[in-house]
Amino acid sequence: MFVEILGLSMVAGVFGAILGLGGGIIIVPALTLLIGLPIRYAIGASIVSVIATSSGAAAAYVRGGIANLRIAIALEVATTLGAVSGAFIAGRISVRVLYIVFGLLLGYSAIALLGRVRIELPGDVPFDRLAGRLRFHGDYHDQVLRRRVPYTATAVVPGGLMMYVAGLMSGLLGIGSGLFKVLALDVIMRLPMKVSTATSNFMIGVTAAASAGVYFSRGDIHPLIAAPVALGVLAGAWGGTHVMERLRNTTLRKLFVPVLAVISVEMILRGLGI
Amino acid sequence: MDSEFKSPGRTPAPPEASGEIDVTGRVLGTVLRAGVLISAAIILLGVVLFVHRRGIGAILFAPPGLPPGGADDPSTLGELRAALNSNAHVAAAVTDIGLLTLIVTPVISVFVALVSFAKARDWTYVLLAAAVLCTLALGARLERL
Repeated sequence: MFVEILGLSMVAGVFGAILGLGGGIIIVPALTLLIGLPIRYAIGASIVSVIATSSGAAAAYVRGGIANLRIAIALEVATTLGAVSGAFIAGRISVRVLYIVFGLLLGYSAIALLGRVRIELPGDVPFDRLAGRLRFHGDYHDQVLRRRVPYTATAVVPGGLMMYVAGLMSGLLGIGSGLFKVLALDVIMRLPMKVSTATSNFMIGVTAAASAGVYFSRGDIHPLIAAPVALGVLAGAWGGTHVMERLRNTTLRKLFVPVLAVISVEMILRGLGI
Repeated sequence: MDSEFKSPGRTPAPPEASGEIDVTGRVLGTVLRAGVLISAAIILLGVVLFVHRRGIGAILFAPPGLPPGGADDPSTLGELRAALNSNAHVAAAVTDIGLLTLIVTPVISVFVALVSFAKARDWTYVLLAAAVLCTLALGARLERL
């Protein structure tokens, strides 16, 4: 079992680092559906996975200037608030509801990403006063395009609301809700996909840390499960950062939409008891 | 949800010299890397201790239906200290310490960001980072309710 979890976690780490998703999205279904662990431990393990992916990947992205620190810290205010409220109500919701919510969450994300599959860079975006005041702009070196790409964020308030929802989901389901963060950064605030996933990677660890204490003291973080998850994910995330920088923004999206769709359907079916 | 405004809008202001962010980024990157390496080493030590005590079979062939954490899995700091001193639970305790180290790494990185923003006299962002840390503290407090 240890070895299976280690292997699965490495895969989750690679995907998580590339797509800014923290791996919870793979860990929870993998541990419950493939290995048959109770969802409680799967969620506890995924919190660990999220923090491992985040710290492992962000170490590279922050250094390389791909993750935007200002955007991350500012939006983290909304997300941690959401995470704390989510963790607080988490014990009071049924497991089946969690499955359905989780499944719908994935399905929605798949559709949202599908609409943007072909966009390489966002180009000029509508001016947003708050984005200007908070200096939500920057530039990064794109290894594929071989040039510096400047960018500016737009729609900060709707993005911030989405970030609160992301935190809420993280507290409720034990995932960093990297999906919702990437959606907020990429679809709503119109940042380049790479900046979105890298910034999301930095943020999800902080969000998960907000609720990790709750899960830890509740005994949901089982050392025998969490240890291989942490080690596997850290190794995977380290490898994933090297891959991500060499991919096109469009490739990032194409990679993940089908995976999301499949897992989404599986989780909803499970929640419905079919 | 999708903000599909096709209007050209105003072109983005040229990004300011990002030298300060680069320094912050490098420091933060180093902190994150250190946190990751230290916690991975401690978790690995916990796993080695576990294998040493119960044999490699215990982790290779453990039944899928795991025993609940219970006594084996310390979940408060007091239990953790007790487990560290007891012979039977030391492996779980060491693993947990590694996991806790991993969990606090992002929090430390926010603190480091706050200090960097303060050095750059960027008070808006000092305030925002402080707000994040306060919410995290609130989350830690809620667990005891």
